[in-house]
Amino acid sequence: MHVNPSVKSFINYIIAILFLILLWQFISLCMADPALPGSVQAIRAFVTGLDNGISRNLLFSAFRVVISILLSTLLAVPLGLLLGRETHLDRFLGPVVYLIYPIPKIVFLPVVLSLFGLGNWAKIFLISLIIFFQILVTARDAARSVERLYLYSVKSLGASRKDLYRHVILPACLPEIFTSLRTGLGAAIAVLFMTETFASSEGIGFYLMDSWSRLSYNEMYAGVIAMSLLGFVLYIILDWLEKKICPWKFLY
Amino acid sequence: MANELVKIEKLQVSYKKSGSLAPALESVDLYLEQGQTCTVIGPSGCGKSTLLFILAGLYTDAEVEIRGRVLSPEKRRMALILQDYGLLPWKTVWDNAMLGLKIRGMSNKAKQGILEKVLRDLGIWEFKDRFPAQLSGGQRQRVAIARALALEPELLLMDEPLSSLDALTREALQELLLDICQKTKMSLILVTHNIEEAVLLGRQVLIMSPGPGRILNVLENSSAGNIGYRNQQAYFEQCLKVRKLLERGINDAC
Ligand SMILES: Nc1ncnc2c1ncn2[C@@H]1O[C@H](COP(=O)(O)OP(=O)(O)O)[C@@H](O)[C@H]1O
Ligand SMILES: [Mg+2]
Repeated sequence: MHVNPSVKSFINYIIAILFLILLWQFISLCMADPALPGSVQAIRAFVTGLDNGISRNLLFSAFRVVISILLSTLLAVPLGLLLGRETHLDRFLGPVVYLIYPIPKIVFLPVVLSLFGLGNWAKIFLISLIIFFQILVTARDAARSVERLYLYSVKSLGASRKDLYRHVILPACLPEIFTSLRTGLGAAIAVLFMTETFASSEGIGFYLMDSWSRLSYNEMYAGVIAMSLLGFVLYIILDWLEKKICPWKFLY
Repeated sequence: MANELVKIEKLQVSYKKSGSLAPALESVDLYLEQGQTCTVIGPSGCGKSTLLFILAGLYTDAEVEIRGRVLSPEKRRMALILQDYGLLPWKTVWDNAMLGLKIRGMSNKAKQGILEKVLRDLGIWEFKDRFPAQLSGGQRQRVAIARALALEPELLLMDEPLSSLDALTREALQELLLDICQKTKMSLILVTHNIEEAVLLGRQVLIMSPGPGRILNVLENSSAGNIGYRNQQAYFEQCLKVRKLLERGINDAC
């Protein structure tokens, strides 16, 4: 029997999810601790919670993380490509990047909260700051290692510098940029959670900590499910985008 | 007097490497008339690619130091084909072939029609939506040739375009090149390290030696230019001559 490969991988995902749900239920039964409710209760709490705060908080979280990713990508990719190709610019800015990159930017959380207040922008700023540097460094290194013969061959067609960026440098670096986006996504959601647990009144992070402080464990796990779903859906969107934008990487 | 297309006199090229200069070519002369073909042969590292890239005007002052006189056609009247890195892996056959026209702002309907005809003539039209990785080496070089031809160049520069192909594909493409040169009166400078190819395609064969690159010999080979030459006695004799000159050059350099 022939099964469409995408249907097959879909079925595999379903099986994996069912397995995780069962495992969770099993562990919860074994531990018999109210702090670890079973998966069935958690899912039930998630579904009833949807009308009762989760949807709204999920929207806040999704908005923050998506805007942050878009913002940092739009800034980091062009700057990274320029740093990788324009030696003059890199000579000047390279040391600055080198110094800032290894600093754990999360330590600026209090500073950012003081400067930007407790609303959306503080969170967006901090998340963007963190993934900005990941994407920047990846794009720069990828741009540096673009095969020079591609550049010469397109130059010989009469390409301007702008043409080279558009037809050679950007597409050559896209696969690596997607990889950095994928790792950046994990970092983004972790930082989102941190920022939302501090003096916040919206977002899944807030919902989760609020449930915890009320000892409402079922709701707490509903929050965990919501946060995981957010990450999972964004991950799938990234995968889909990469297949659309870099079809030459998926020929076989 | 015939029309001169390329004239190089006492060319000396050095690569600029972190402050110091690495000489790559020394006192190179080259003269090519319109509609003529020239092949350049020599061992690896003797400066063949450098010569071609200088002709194509690809190097900036930051990369090389050039002395001597270089007269070559305007950039937009030349096209360059490289061995492995000519086609962009992220563009389809059609987009690759179209790239030159697009960059020169000439991607109108009429030009698209011409390009379609070129692709059909070269037998690669059916692959127009594929990516280079989905083609054989020979098909890829046909796409590169199509892209160059679409620009209707006066001078075609080729850097070992057929080196990575199997013997039969290579011969087919050599015949294709001869055919194109005859029909379009296009001039050709082709770099190769294959003796038979150099003698078959170049009415002038430049034999180079390394360390730094210079021209050892210029072999007049005026019978070249048609496919039948491959089976003639004169052809074999010329090949032998080139081989001896090359061997002598390598021995002298070592
Ligand atoms: N971009 C470059 N920078 C520095 N040296 C180079 C560069 N390209 C080539 N060379 C040097 O110049 C010499 C000639 O190289 P090349 O023109 O590529 O020879 P060929 O094409 O005959 O193999 C070699 O010694 C090579 O190492
Ligand atoms: Mg070479």
